[in-house]
Amino acid sequence: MNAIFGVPTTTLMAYLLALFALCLAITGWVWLRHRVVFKLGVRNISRRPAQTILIVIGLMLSTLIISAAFTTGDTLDHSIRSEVYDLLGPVDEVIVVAAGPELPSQPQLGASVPEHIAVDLATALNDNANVDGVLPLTLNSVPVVNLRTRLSEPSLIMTGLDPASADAFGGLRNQAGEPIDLARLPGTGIVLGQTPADKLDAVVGDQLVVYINNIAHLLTVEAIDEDSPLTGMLGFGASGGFAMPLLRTQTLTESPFSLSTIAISNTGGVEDGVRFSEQVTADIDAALHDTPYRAVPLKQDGLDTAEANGSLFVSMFLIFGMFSIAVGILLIFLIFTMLAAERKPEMGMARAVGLKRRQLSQMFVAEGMAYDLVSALVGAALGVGVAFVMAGMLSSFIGDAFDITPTASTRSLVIAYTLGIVVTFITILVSSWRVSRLSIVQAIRDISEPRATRESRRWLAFGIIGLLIGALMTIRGGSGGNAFLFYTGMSLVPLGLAAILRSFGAPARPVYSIAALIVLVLWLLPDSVSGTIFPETSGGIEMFFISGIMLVAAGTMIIIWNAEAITNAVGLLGKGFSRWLPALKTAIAYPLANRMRTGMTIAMFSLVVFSLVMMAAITANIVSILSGEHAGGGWDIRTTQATTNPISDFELTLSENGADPGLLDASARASWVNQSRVQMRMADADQWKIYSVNGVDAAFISESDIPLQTRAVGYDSDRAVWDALAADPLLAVIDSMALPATGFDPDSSEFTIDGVTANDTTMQPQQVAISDPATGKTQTVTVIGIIDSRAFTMWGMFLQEQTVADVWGMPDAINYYLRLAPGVNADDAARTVESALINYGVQADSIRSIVDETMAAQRNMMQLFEGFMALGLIVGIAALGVIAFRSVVERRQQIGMLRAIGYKRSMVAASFLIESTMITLLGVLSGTILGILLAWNLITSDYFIGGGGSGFIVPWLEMALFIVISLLASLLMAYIPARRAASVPIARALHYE
Amino acid sequence: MLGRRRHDTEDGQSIPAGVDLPIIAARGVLKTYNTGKLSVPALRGVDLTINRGEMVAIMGPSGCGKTTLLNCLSGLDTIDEGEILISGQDLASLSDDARTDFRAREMGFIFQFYNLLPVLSAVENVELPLLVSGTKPRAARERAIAALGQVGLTEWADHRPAELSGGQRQRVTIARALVNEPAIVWGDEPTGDLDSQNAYEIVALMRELNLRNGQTFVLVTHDPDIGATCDRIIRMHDGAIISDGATCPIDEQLVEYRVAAPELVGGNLDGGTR
Repeated sequence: MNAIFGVPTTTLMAYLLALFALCLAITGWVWLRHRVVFKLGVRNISRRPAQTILIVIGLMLSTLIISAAFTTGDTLDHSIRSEVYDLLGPVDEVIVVAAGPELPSQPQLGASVPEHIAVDLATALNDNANVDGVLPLTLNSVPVVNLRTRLSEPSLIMTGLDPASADAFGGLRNQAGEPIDLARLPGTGIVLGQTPADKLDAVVGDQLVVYINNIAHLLTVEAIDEDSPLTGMLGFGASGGFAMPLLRTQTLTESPFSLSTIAISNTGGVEDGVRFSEQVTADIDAALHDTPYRAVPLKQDGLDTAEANGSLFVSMFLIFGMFSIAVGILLIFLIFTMLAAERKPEMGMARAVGLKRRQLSQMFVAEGMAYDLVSALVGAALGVGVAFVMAGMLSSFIGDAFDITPTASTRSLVIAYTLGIVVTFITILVSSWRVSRLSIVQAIRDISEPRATRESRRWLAFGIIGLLIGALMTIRGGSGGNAFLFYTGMSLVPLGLAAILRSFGAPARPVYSIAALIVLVLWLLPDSVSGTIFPETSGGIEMFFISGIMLVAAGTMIIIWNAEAITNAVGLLGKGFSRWLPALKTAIAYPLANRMRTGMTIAMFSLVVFSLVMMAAITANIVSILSGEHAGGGWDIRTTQATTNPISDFELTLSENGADPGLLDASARASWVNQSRVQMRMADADQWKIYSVNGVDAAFISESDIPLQTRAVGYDSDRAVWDALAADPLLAVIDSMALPATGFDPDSSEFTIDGVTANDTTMQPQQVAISDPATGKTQTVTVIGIIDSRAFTMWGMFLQEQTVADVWGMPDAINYYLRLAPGVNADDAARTVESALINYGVQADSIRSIVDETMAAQRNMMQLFEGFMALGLIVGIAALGVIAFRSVVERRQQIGMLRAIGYKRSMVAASFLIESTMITLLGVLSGTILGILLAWNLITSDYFIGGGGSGFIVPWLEMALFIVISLLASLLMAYIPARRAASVPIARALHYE
Repeated sequence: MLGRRRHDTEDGQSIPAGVDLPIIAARGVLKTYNTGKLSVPALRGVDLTINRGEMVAIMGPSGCGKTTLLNCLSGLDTIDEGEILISGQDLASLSDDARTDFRAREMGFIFQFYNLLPVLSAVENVELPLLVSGTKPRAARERAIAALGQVGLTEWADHRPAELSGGQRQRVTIARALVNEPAIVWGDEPTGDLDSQNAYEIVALMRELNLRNGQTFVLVTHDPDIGATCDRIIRMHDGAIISDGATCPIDEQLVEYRVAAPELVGGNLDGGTR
C-alpha cells in the first residue's frame, strides 16, 4: 500500500519514525540526566507482575487495532495484486477503440479492431526494447453445453489467438505442462480453461456445443490449461473460457480480418514488465496516433485498483477502529492515573526528599516508555494475527472471486508500531503531568487532595476556553454548513459553561447533569427538528465517530453524577436478597466514590457497545429495507444473456423451447451497457466519469413497479415520470448510487449527479451527457427522477433502448425481467427458463435469490467490521481487570475489616463481582441505548433509504449478544481478583499499608 | 462493680453475682510466622483467661506478640498449637463461614487506624455489621443511629470518614464495634492515632460503655494510662505473658477521668472535638 488517507505511506512512516525517535530521545534524556529517576520508574515494572501484564495488554490494544487495519489493507492489496498478475499473466497493455481522449477501461468483446492494425503495431514495436510480444485476439461470449455431462455455462469467453504470437505470452499448455501448438489443433479442437472445465465437469475428449448467432457448433476439448487471458479469463470471479486459433473464431463469428483487441507483453516477467507500462503505452499511442485505437495499461490499472482497495479497507478499518483506539487511549490514561494513586504516598515522599514535579513526570515517562516499547511490539504482532483471522473470514465471503493471501508488509508494521508508541507516549506524557501535580502532605498521608483555589481557576480557564472555542466552531460550522464544527461547537458551549459555573462553586450534580443533557438532546434531535432549528449542515463518516464520543461522554456524565439514584434502585432490588445486601452496599459504594475511574470504565464499554449497536442496527435495517418488496422493481426473475445469440421474442422463444407459456405474467427487456464502455458527466462539466446504462423497452417502463425517491418538478407521481420516459427518448432516470455522498472515496471515477441530494424529494431536471468512448457518439439526456434505493437491483441510468442503441450500438448484455404468474416458484421458474433457453446462453436468477445473496454478503462484511470494532471490548474488559486487581490491593485493609466484622469470603467475592458487573452493565446499557437512539434517528430520517418510512428494526439478538458477552467477560475478568480478595488473610490485611 | 454483677449465660441461665466467668480461655497457644527462610515465634505457649465483663489491657514492647495474641484470640488469625475457647466455643473447630458468623455475632473490633470504609457514611459504616448478621435494613439503620447517639455522633451520621476528625472516626469505629451488642470488644491500639485529648475521650467512652453494658473489652496498647484504666494489665515479652495483674480500683480511675474530662464520663457524651 502506498497511501492512506491520501498521505503516502513512506512519508507517514518517515514522520512516525522521527516522532518515535523523539520519544526515545526524551526517555534517553531522562536516563542520561536523571538516572536515579529513570531507575525509580523502571523498577516499578517488576513490582507486581500480574498488574504489569495487564498494563501491557491495555497499552497494546491501540497498536493492535492499527496493526490489524494496516495488515488487512496489505492483505487485500497483495491478494488483488497477485490476482492481477495471475489473471493477466504476461499481458501488460491492450488495445481499445477510442474516439477521443477518454478510454474504455477494458477491451470490448466482439469485433472492433481491424486485423491489419495488429500487423502495423507489431511492425512499429518490433525494435522496441520494452516490448516482447504482440498478440491479436478475438473475444466473444458464447453459451456452452457439455454433451457428455449435460452441464452448461451460459457465457464463456471464446478466445481466438494467433498461434504464431501466443508463445511470447507463455503459450498454452496441457495438464502435464507440455506446450500445445495451436496451429496443430484439429479444426474443432479447443483448449479449455480450468474453471469452465470444472464447471462443465469436462475432460479431454469431451464434445461441447457452442451457440453463435443462434447456430450450434460442435467443438472438442483437446486440452485443459490453467486459466489465463489466453483461455478467456478476463476478470475476478469470471467464468473463463476456451482458446482456439484466431482464424477459426473469425470464421465462426463471421468476422474475418477483425479482432476484439491486441494484447501487448512488456519485456521482463509477469511482475517486472509492468514498470515499462507508461513508456510502452505512450509508444503504442504514438504508433497508432492516426487511428481510433489506443493502449490501455491494463495491468497497471489493475495494480492501481489493488492499491486503492487496500487503502480503502485500511481507511475503513481505521475509522471503524477509532472507537477502540479512543477506548485504548482512555485505558492508558486510566492505568497511569491508577498507578499514580497506588504510589501516591511514595511519590509524596519522593517530593518531600527533593524530587521536582517534572521529575515525577519523568519517572512515569521512563516506566511508561518501557511498557510502551514492549506492548506496541506485542500489539503489532497480535494485530497481524487478528488481520490474518479476518483474512480467513474475508476469504470465506469473497474467496470465490479471488484468493485472499494474508500478507503483512514491513512498512505497515513499522507504521503500526511507531504510531502505537507515539499515541501511547503522548497519553503517558499527559497523564504523568496530571499525576505529578500532587500536594506532598496529602500524598504522604494518602488522603484526598483538597479542592484548591488554583483548581477552581483552572476550571474557570478550561470553561472560558471551551466556551470560546465552542462558540467559534458553532459560528464557523453554521455559516459554512460544516456539521462537525457546528455540532461539536454546540456541545462545547454547555460543557464550558458548566465548568465556569463549577469554578464559582455551583453544585456539581445539577450543573454537569444539565450540561450533559443538553449535549445528549443536541445529538439525538431528529433531523426533522434540528433541520428547522439549526442551519443546514452536512458531514461525512467523521460524524459517526464524533457523535459517538459526544453522546457517550454526555451519557457517562449523567450516569456518574446521578448514579446514586440508579444504584439506590439497585439497592431496593437488593432488599429482596438481604443476605447479599451488605455485599451490594459495598459494591455500589466503591465505584460511586471514585467517579473519575468509574466514569472512564463506563465510557469505555459505552463507546464500544455504542459503535457495535449502531453498526448492527444500521446493518439490520439496511438489509431489511433492501430485502423488501421494492428490491426487484416488481419483477421476479432477471435473465442475462450475451448479445451473441439474440432472442427476438422472449416469451415465444421460451414456449417454443418447451416452457409452459402460462409461467409468465409479464416480461420486459433492458439492454445493458457496462460502465467500462460508458462515459457520463453533467452537461456543463468537463470531466467524464463512468456509469452503467440500461436501455429499456416499453414493457419495462409500463410493467415495472420501481419507486422513485426524487422526482423532477412538474411530475406528480412516479408513474408520471416513467410515462414521460416512455414518450421522450431523451429523458432518463438514474439510481440513487449517483447521488453525491461524502464517503471514503470523494474522487471516485463513478458519475455523481449535481443539483439533487439524498434529502430531496423533488429536483430540477438535470442535463447529463452520455457518450461511447469508442465511437465518440454523445447524447445529452435529461434526468427527471432518482430511483428509490430500496429498488437496489435496479442500478445504472435508465433510458429508452433506442437511445442506448443510437449511442452504443450493441449493448454488452440483454437482461429480461420476468414477472411470474401467481403461485409460481421463482427459483423453479428460473431453472426452467435457463434450461429452456440454454442454446441462447440465458442465465436466469430469481430476484429474491439475488437479493438474499447480496444481503448475505453485506451482512458478512458488516459483521466483519463489527468483529473488528468488538476488539474494543477487550480494552474495556482489560480496564475492569486492572481496576479489580488494583482494588484488591487498595482495599486490602478494608477487606480485612469487612471480614473481621462478619463478611464471609463469598460476600467479599460477591461484592467485587457485583461491582464489576454493575460498571459493565451501566456502560453496556448506556452504549446500547445511545446507539439505538442514534440509529433510530438516522434510520427514520428523510434521507435514509426509503425516506425513513420503513420503520425501525431493533437488532435484539446482536444487542443481547453484546450484553451477554460483555457481562460474562467482565465477570470472568473480575473472578480472579474477587477470589484473591476473598482469600485475603484477615489479620495481615488489617495491618497492611 | 463489674465482677459482681449478674450475668446471663449462653443458655440463658442466670449466674450469681460474684462469680467471674472465663469468656476467653487460651491454653498453650503457639504461633510462629514463617517469612521465607526465617521462622519467627510470635506466641510461645500463652495461657490466659479473661472473664465476662472485664476490661483487660495487653501491654508490652513492639514485637512482643500483643497484636498476634489479639488476632488469635479473636479468630482473625489461626494458631499452630494450643486451644482457644470463646464462650466455651473452640473457634479452630469451626469452618471459616461459621467462625465469621460467630465473630459477627459475638465480637466487635476497634483498630488504631479506624478501618472505616471511606466510601460509606458514618451511619452506613455502623450498620454494616447488622446487615451482615441479617438485620432488616430499616431496623439496622435505627440501631446504627442509636449507636452513633451513644458515642455522641448523631449529627455526623451522614458524613463520610474523610469528613470526620480522628476522634470522631474512632467513635464511629466504637459505635460499629458495639452496635451488634457483642460479648467481646477487641481493640488494637484504639488510641494510637489520636492526640491525648481525643485519646482520653475515647478511653473514657470505652470504659463507660464497658461499665454500662457489661461487655468484655480486650485492648492492646502501648499507653500505660489506658492500661491503668482497665481491670487488668497483661504484660507480654517475646511472645509470652510475663505478668498478669489487676490495676488500681476502677472507681479511682473514673475519678481521674472525670477530673480530666468531666463532661465526657458519666455525663454528657455528645459531641467531640475535630
